Amino acid sequence: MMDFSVALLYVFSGMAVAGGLGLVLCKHPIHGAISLLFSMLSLAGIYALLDAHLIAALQVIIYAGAIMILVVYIIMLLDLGSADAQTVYRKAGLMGLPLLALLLLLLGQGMISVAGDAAAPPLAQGPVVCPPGVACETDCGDGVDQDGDNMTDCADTDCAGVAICFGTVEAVGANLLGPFVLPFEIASVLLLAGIVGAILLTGRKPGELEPSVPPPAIQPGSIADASGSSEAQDTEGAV
Amino acid sequence: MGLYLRFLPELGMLGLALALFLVSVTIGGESDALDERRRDERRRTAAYVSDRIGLLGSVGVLVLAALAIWQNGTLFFDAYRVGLFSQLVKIVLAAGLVGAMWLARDARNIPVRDRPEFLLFMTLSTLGMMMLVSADELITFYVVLELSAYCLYIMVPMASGHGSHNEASYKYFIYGATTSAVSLYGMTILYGLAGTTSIPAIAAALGAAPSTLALAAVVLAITGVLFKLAVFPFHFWAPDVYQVSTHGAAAFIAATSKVGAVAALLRLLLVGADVEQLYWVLGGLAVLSMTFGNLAAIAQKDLKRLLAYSGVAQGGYILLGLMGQDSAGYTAATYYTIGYLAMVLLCFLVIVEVGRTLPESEGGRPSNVLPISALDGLHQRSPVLALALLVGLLGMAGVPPTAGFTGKWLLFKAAIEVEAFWLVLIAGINNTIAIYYYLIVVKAAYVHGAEGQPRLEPGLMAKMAGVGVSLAVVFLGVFPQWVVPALDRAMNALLGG
Repeated sequence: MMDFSVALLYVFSGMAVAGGLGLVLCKHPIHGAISLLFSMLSLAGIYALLDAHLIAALQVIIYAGAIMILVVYIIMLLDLGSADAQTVYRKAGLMGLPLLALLLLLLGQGMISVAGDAAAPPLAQGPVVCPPGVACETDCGDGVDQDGDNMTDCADTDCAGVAICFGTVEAVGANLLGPFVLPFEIASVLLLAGIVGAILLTGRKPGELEPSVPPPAIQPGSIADASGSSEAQDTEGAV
Repeated sequence: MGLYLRFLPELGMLGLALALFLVSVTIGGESDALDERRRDERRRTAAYVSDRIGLLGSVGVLVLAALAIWQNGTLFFDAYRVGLFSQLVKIVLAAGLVGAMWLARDARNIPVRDRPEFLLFMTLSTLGMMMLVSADELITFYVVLELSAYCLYIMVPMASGHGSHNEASYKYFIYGATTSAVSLYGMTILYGLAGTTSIPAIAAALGAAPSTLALAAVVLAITGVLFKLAVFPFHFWAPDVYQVSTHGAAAFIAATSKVGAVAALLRLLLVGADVEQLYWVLGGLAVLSMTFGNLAAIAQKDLKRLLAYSGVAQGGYILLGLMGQDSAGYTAATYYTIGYLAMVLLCFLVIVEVGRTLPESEGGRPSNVLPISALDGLHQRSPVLALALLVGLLGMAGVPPTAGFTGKWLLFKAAIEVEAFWLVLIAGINNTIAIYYYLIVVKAAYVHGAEGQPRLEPGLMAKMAGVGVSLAVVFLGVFPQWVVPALDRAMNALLGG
């Protein structure tokens, strides 16, 4: 008798894979986008099954919500539905097949060989066991800071592996500002670079729209110029 | 204080990036209140100021990196490991940044108002590479890999002009994003196998239970870095990107970012320290890369494309040193990469100087290409530049007494020690092919006459840089004992944990 949550895990995984396949195989970009949405929602389900509730919620809000809306908007604005670029990919896809087969073979064989090996240790239900000689947060649910490091209960990284703390806002926050503080901070530099780059490559500064200003030669090429997007609006209904 | 010292070069880079960013938003910031003339003036001021800040700042970072060389230890909950290896590479990266900043000064085809941002991206990309070298944990590794890569993607389309520059930047970005996704996939499998993102812990876990899956995961994980190194199946972007980006950006991508890629590869390969089949994967890639790169380079008419294909081949040579995963090979690879950095910068010094004399545009668009024929009679027009080009090319061809020769010798020796004799034989044959196309360029510079070519007047600094770096290449080649023992110690420390 299969555990209910394990059955759900298979259902969500199947849906995620199906969504991924749909994204690759659908001819129309909007169908692809909807498949991707499907895949992202299934991932949120998997996160929820793994007790990572905060991540599951963020997945729905940010990926399935904000990012997908952006993707759909871009598809509509650029009017990609009518593009004739679809035939080109056929050949490329065929060329990639042997590589795909090899990868599937390697990974499949590997996955099967390790499948029976080790299950991850289940999350601890009881008190935290401290390493000898080290003070740590022993009880993660009593509101008391046992080891005196100013981090109480789930906010303390000692509690990361305990069921009541795993995946909570506190645990994710404690991890982000603890072991993963460096990537967390560097991500902000990465985002800054992304923002500056996006403004630089696509954004026209106000001065450039004035008639007195520059010859087109000094403008860096941008993805969609003004005429392109107005055209897209005309045909938006068709998408 | 010790903790700050460990992070000093990176802090310096962050400070430099912040300074450039501030220049971009304050002096370079545009306001509707200004009339056209004032606005133009401010753009020029911003470009001038950021050029100076960039150059002085990168020299400052070089000093900071040198100050921090003896630092040792970990930072940020063991996510960041500082040691002799990382600190040495950081010095080389900082030197590469100084070179690229200097080559990019007064670049013709970057719009004046974009100059602060251009230098900002160069700085941030180098910051990413510096951190890659020290990243001891996969999430950190991935984030800084992206940081170093994304800045490069933006630098390519910033070059205005050349007709196909959009195609090249799309190609670069899409290949880059795909390989990075593949890399991430490999890293998640590694995490699944080991249950941790710490590189040493993963290496231990994989060593305890080797499997096909581990091999596949490591190979997938290193794709992102192999892409940066432009090794054979991941090289498609290189020729186009070199050709259409401005000379300064191309120099940065060809030289500095290659150092970052090799160092990152050394760091990431630690996860597969006990995966034996990597030997065959890396060896196979080395052969394909060398052969393909060299054969494709023969047909090139554009010097930058030629250098791109030669870079593919050089990536193959470097992989020869990595396949044994021992300290001798790693030392050889790093030594060769340092020499390669100097040689590529020499070639680009000539490209930048000659590029200034070419007609401003081609069919109404500023031109970023540099046909080999533009070098005709270089020895009469500027003997110093011709010498710099000669040293750079002969170094890449592996002619003694340059660092290229000593580096290749060390690489081949390391490969023979791990019983890859056939690979060394193929590499030798390849090297002979390579000499042919390097000599074509040398012939243009030294044998062809200078008739009808524009005058060339390199500044004093350019001449000094050409002579100085040439001397460094020869010095490095003749006295490897000044560098190799330090690298050896660094590699032993790296491989020891």
